[in-house]
Amino acid sequence: MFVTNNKSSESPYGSFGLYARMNPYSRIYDDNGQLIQSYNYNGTFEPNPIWNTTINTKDVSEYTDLSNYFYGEWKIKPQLKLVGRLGITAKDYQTDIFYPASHTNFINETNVYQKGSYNQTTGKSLYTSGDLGINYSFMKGSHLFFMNGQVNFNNTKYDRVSLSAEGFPNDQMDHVIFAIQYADGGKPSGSEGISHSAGGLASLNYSFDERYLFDANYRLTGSSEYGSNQRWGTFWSVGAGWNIHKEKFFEGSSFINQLKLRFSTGYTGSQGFNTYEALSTVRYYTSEAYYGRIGSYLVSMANPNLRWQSKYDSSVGVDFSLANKRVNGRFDYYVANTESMLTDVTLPASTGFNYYRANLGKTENKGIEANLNVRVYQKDNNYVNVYASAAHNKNKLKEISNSLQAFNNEQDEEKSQESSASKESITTPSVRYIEGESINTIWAVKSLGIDPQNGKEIYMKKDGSVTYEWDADDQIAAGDAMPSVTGTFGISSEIKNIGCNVAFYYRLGGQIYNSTLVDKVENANLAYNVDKRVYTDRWQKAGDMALYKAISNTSYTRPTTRFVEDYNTLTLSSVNLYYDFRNTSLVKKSFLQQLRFSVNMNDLFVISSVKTERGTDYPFARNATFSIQATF
Amino acid sequence: MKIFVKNNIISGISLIVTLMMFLTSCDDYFDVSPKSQILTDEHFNRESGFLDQLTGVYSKMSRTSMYGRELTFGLAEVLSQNYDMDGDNVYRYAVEYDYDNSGVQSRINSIWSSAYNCIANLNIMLDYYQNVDSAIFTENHYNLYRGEALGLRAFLHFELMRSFAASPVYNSGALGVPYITEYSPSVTPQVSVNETMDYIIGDLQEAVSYLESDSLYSAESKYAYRGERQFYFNYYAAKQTLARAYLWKGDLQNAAIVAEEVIEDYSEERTPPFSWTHYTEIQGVKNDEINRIFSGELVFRLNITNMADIVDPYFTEEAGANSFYFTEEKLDAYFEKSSKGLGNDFRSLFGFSYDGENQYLWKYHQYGSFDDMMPVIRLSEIYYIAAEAQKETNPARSIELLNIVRENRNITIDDALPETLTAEEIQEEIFKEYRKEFLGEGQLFYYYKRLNYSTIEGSSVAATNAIYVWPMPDGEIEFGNR
Repeated sequence: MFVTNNKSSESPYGSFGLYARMNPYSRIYDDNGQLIQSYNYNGTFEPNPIWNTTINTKDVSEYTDLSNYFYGEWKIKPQLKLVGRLGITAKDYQTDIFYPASHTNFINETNVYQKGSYNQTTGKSLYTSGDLGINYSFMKGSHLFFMNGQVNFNNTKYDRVSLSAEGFPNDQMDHVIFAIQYADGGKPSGSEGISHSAGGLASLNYSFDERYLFDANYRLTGSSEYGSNQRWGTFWSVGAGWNIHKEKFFEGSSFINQLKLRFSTGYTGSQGFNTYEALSTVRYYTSEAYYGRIGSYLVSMANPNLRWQSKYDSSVGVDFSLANKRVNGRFDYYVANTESMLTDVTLPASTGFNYYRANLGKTENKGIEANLNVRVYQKDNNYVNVYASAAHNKNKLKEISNSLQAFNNEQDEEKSQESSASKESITTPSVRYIEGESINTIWAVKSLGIDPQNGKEIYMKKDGSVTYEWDADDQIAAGDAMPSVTGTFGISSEIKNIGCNVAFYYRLGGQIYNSTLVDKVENANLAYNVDKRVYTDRWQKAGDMALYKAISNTSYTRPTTRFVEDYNTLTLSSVNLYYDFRNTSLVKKSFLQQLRFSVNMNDLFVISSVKTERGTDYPFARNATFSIQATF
Repeated sequence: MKIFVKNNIISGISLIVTLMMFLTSCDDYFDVSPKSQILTDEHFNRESGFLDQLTGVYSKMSRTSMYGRELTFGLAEVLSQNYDMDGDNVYRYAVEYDYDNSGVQSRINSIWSSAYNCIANLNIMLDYYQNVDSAIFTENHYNLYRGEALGLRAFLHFELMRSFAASPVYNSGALGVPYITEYSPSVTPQVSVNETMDYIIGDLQEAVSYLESDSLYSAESKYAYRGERQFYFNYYAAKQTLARAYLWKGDLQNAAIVAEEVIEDYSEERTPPFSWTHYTEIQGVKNDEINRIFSGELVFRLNITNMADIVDPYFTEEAGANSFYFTEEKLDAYFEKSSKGLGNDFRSLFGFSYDGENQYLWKYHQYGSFDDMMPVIRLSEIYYIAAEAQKETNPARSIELLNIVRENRNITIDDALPETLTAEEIQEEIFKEYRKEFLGEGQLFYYYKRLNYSTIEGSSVAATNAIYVWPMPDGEIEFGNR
């Protein structure tokens, strides 16, 4: 049984980004040496975030986690085994966020009753699961059977309540009970849910003479989350393998140690949607009454035929081991089709609702994965290994629901607006669902650059004509955010007790939309501290061959191919060096059993074809960790 | 040895099989009950579930997107050109019939989606009525709730027909609005206006038969509850809607029959459920003693809890740009004050507040026991229906019926309509009555539409189907293949 208690507090300093955007000429202290709380920018007040460290605030999360696992095994016969497990996890948590009236969040608030806020969230969850399995194996001659059967269940229950209060004149009164009132229009909110699922599985493995391998699996799963007509999902898969190296014609080959062909195909299920969408339910109005009675209403258009989203996977692969097992590798090719995807289907309003959940839509993922590991040198305890891996995946939407088309239109409309509550919805390329395209496609309008005459961006329309107007209909598939190849490579070695592990990560091919560049240079708010390129690289007068639009142009830059860049990177993701005192006189002669010094560094450098800022909220950091491990 | 092992396999497998069968048979394990939501299977297991579901529909109907504003004094009334308003009133595009304007469109769309959402909420309740054990209901509630639900379903469809489909006089073969009778995501195809009206009439007839248990009709023991029944879709609401539907469809014979049946029920000897507003009710000095809304005549009214908050932004001087007002000249013409000397009409005398320049409609400024009432169906309309339906066959009766209403509005016998009026003149008098009686209640626009008037008084735009038929929401057209 484990009991965990964790308490964490956020720093009162706030995010680094708040400091980075402050104007460098803003003073911290006034003439009397007092910390300045805010600066007047044309009528609205901008905060000095350091002020918040001088007052009492609170941002604390705490949880207690209790878990218990029980495991039992009964060997009925040497080949027959019964295994049972039962697990319970209970969690209680509370989050308190308190800002008093003097906090810079309220510098633009005039109503004293609304200055100061307290948000409290409490919740608990309970998760229980268990299974009972039976294994049986037997061998006769060259035939080997292994059978496995299991039944299992899962129960999940959660309950979360949060409330907001406001009006905290004094920063020392940091308890929610000191609030003047509930937040304007606020009332307790939260969520609650429960789900039950249960299932069983049966599998059979058979091998003949260790050469031919077969397996078959059958799984049955039921969940309260699925439609009452479709409670159970059934999934099956079959696989086969051929150990070629065990064949007679290979016997005695000293070069090939292992050569195995694998093939598998079948369905795997997945779930993931709101617990009650399959059931028709009603709720009660919480703020409306009719003639002294509270009425009920249908929550949604239920779909009792909702069923498990299924994924059909097929893969072929080969495992090999050569030259005295010094060269090992594996290669896989897979095709995964997700069918009957759970998506919203838009309904005509005459049904009474705007959408319902249904199984519609298909996506396809195809890819290859390869691994190679070579032991270049080995003598006694000294070795040098080099390894490399590569993966390629291609994603394609094969069928989508009408709601996703509607979603695309909605996003296009939003992009065409002058302004919006969320700037990102205008300035960043949207995910568009188009049949035959990848979900990772970057959509932007073709740009011909900045007109040196007037500093406006020139766009190319779909029909080839040019315009200054950005139009959502002219968006083209300007790139693919998914790389052609990604992988890792590196060395791991130990020579004379000195160990060295170096790992690189690379990505080749594919593009990125350089959002930071757009935001920091073209969509920057000039009232704040900005990237210097705003002043040096933006168009200022006729004849400027500028990369960026006119400095006087304060409209948002919408997705344009100008900022779609090829994205190739090489990252030194980790370096680990150690010295192990194994077999040294220091260890042998002392009470120590083991002693090791090591240093570990992550993300040492990134070489990229795209220059990007990694954001000021979590600035890039290089960490080195030194550690000493000793066993007595 | 071998046999023993086999036995073990069999017992192992049978253990699994038993467990699986246990899980399969135990489907209840998956029927979990959320706290924040109630499964409809449980909700409609109790009488209160049915009542609460109906209450929820009335709640939704009372919102500003429906009868709280748009279908009464808001959009529907604005389209009749009754109001005078400033150039920057929020309804300035609506009054120009600019249905493409996004603001107007959102009002129209939300009427469509709210009405159909109410219908879905009624349909699920009616679905459960198919199999419910009537023993769970007390008193007359089994019939009452069922009748109300059926009646409301027809009433709401009829309202949608009046707004979103061609009037039968113009083209009874045109497509009506989809008539939805089940809670289901499948798209219901449209049928012709005439066929849709037949569905509405069918549902209303069924509703009337269930509602015969209504205390307003049976009038025996539950007299005390009468006032309360006006807040629900009662027997007379259903019956009057039926008469209205026949008239809309152009079936004058049946309209006359149903209307006369209702009027017969209202005759003195039968303790009428509704009573004409007596002058003593409106001549009070204190605001809470003045029955400006004529509450006793409201056959069906909705309870709007925050009435003042909803109407004050439109019907006061302080409302500024958004206020609806009437010029002196307009009211003089409507009530035929100088032309015929009918200025003592209660509706004119007590219906307005004068700020020295304009007249503001005052029926929605409600106090005391006359508060929070939104008229949806009025007693007088049944007299107008009966009069209109018999103007050719029995003009004398038509004139008599109109004079009953006029007399109760304080138009003296000396000013009564003469029996010599032609059918055409009768219709003209009915028009004037609609305009006076339902001022600010969203009925006049549909009067114009029903008779397919080629102009709407006060508008320079020719009144065609482009005005009379509101556009369905884009989503309905796209995803419903309309």
